[in-house]
Amino acid sequence: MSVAAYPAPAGAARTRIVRARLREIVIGGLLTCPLLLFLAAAFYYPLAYTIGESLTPEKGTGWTLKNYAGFLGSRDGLGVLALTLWLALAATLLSLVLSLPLALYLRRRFFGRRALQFLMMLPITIPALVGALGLVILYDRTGWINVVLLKLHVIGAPLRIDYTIHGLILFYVWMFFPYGALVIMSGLGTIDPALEEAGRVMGASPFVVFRRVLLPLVRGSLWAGGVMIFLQCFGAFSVPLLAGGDYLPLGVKIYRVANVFLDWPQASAMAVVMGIIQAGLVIAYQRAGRARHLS
Amino acid sequence: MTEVRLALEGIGKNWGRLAALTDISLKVPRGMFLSLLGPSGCGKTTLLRVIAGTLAPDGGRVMVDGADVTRVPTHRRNMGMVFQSFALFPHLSVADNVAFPLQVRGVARAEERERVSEALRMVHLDPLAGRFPRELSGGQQQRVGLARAIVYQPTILLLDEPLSNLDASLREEMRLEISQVTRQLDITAIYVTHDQREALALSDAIAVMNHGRIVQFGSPEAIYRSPADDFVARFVGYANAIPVRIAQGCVRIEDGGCALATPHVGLEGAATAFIHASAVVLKAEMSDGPNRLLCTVVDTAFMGDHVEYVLRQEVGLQLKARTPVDVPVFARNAVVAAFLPPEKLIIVPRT
Amino acid sequence: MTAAWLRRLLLLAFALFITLPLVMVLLEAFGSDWFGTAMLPAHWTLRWFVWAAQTVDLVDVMLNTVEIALLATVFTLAIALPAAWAIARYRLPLKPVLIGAILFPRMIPEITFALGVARIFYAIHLTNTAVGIGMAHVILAAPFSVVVLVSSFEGMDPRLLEAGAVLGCGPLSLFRRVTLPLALPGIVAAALFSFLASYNDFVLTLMVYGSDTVTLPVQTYLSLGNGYLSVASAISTILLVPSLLFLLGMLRMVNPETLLGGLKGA
Repeated sequence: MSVAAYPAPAGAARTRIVRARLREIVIGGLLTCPLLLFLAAAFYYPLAYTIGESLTPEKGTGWTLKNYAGFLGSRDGLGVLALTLWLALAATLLSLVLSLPLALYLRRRFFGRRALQFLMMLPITIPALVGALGLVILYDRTGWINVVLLKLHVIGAPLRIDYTIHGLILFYVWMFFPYGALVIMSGLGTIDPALEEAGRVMGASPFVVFRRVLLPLVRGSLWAGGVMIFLQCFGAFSVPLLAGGDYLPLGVKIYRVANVFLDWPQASAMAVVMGIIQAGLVIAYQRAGRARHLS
Repeated sequence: MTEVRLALEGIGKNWGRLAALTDISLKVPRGMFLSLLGPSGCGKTTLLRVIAGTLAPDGGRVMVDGADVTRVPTHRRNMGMVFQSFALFPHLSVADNVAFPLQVRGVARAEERERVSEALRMVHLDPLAGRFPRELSGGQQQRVGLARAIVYQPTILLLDEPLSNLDASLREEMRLEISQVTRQLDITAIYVTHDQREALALSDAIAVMNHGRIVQFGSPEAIYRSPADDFVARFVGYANAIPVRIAQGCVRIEDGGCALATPHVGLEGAATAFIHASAVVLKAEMSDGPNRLLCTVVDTAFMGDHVEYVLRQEVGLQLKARTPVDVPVFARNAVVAAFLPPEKLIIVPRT
Repeated sequence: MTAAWLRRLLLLAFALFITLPLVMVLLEAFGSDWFGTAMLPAHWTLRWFVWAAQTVDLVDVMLNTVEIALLATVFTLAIALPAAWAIARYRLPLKPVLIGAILFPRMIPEITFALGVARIFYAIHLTNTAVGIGMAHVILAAPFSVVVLVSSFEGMDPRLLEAGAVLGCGPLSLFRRVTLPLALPGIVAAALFSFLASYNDFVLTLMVYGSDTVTLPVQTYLSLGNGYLSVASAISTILLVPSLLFLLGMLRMVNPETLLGGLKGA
């Protein structure tokens, strides 16, 4: 004999439930309205406007894809894109090289650990503009770095770091590595410390433990951290504005084209492409994250 | 004389001003199953770590087969370790977990496969070789941990409270497994636990630890029947501790005056008389016999296969008693006569 | 022994790597006659601050920045609080889409939507107004504030509200004595974050500011553009203060790992 199922509510009971649900939706809707309306007006509408403007010619009316062609089809445009991506990639890799040992070291307790954590947060908490300013002063021809290196006879002539590509990469690393470091630290924290102990007792030297136990388990965090850093580098503005010199990655280039050359349609097209790439990366990253968690 | 597999000489370890280990000295012969028994914080896990090499002692030496290994790093000590949290590598399958120490040692593939299968068979897990740790139950994971720890034939097997993370029902099964495997391999084992029943059941010898020192070392019987001090007695499960004073061979309950008949004691002065709850005999108020204490029943609890009592004597002494279920049960506030059979009393000097 | 030594050296190098740029800003801001390859300025002075106060209206700029930040904070909380409450405690249709729409502004670069905002604001005369710029900043502050508030509201154990009712609290009293105190840390966090986001903002502000609404970041940039390095540094110093205070406060209370939008519990 089967067990009788609980009867579904009918009649008056059902209307009560439906009405309560409707009430919930209406009140919920009213509560979120202000935020949604604001975003629609202040964000989505301007965004749509920019997309629209990207499809209009610089002079005249009508629709055109010339702005996109001009950007993605020209050597100059592709050069800007390539520069932005290459800067981001190089800075990301270097940042990861810096972040992993740092995160590994911060696992144990030692005198000054809190201070180190504070320091690590510094670049991402202060305004990028101030950080960029400080970097430019520090790495200038007559800045401390050069002065000390010259005094120690490590170099014979002052190094040019400001306004160079490698300088820019260095500055990006300074600005954005904490994003990755935090992710890696978080990931390392989920690893049972007994695993390393087990590895060592079983005969694996510290290096082998790192390679065969820690690294496989921290790989996900390395990817996640790397993507976070990459995204920040891709969208960087203040740092290249101050310290890029002749190198104009995408953000700064868009600003130039809009405010200096006043070619808003062209700038809009570039902004749209930039937006698509960045949003695309974020979405891909989130999908990958979800896939990983499900496995 | 059987060879000494592990010898500890004067091991000491401090955390700042706190002495975690003080002057630990032990000799463990080949094939012995030794338990380090004590409450949390007594230093037993610290000592295990010193033996394994993951912790460097501040003083003393660790000798394995006569060689000083105090300075030898962990990964060269060739010991095995089973962890409370299992510590299985989540990114490797069961077989790969067990194969790990063999791969690290560069063992040939064919031999590796054989030894892994053998180890898994010993813990009855060979069909699960391809699974991953997250797919296994706690008990299965710990068996993999055991297989992994012995597959490379370590000189000493260290076990850090391996049963603590298992459900109570699984513990006994796993305990038998550990006993079987270690006996089969005739391996020297050091077992850390706070559970005296585990220690009593598994060990050839027990080192009872408290506050960083070994307070008694001996066989399970010796420790159970003749605890060295009241800490050990309490820890090993004596529920009743009666403060007594001994003068000229006469044992008297302190603050009560009543004398107790006991087996011959060679002590004088302050001491504690221990007796198990199950050894206390309860009879009706009117009855008579040696070591009779008139008590009121403060509380009773029916535990299914026995009944537990909390009794209070007139002068304030509290006793715990345990009776089987087939004798009449005494109600709360009833007055009973509690008898402490002299041969069941253990007298231990008070520290 | 040398391994520990090497480690300390590396840590020192790292500490210097991080802090030296900020030290440079401070040196420029408080020093004068810093020439050539000298390590330190020849004299210490506050003259750049005075100069800035006189020539670029530093005090006004500071007041602008704070005013706009306060406006942004109030406005953000006003729209984020009810929305977060609804998201946390109601079952809304299409919730993932809703949350996606709220978080989307943070997924695209600031310059991308700053262009549109600038155009629209210009058309409706909202550029160069404190209100206008404050509202623009809300775009930046709202998403994370909603995240923080939703997390805070979701963490509120409904059984506490139940207990309050059982103990005799009516709805208003319940809100005042139970809900509000429990939500306060989250609200404070969202407020602090919104203030900071607005105070520090550069790109968006750069596109919508005017002569009456110059903020500290914009002024720093302008002074730099005019070649006044020391003045720009002085202004930067003032710009730094809230961020550093925030950082000190956060580290005292919380593990750094949780700052990434609450990945782990504290």
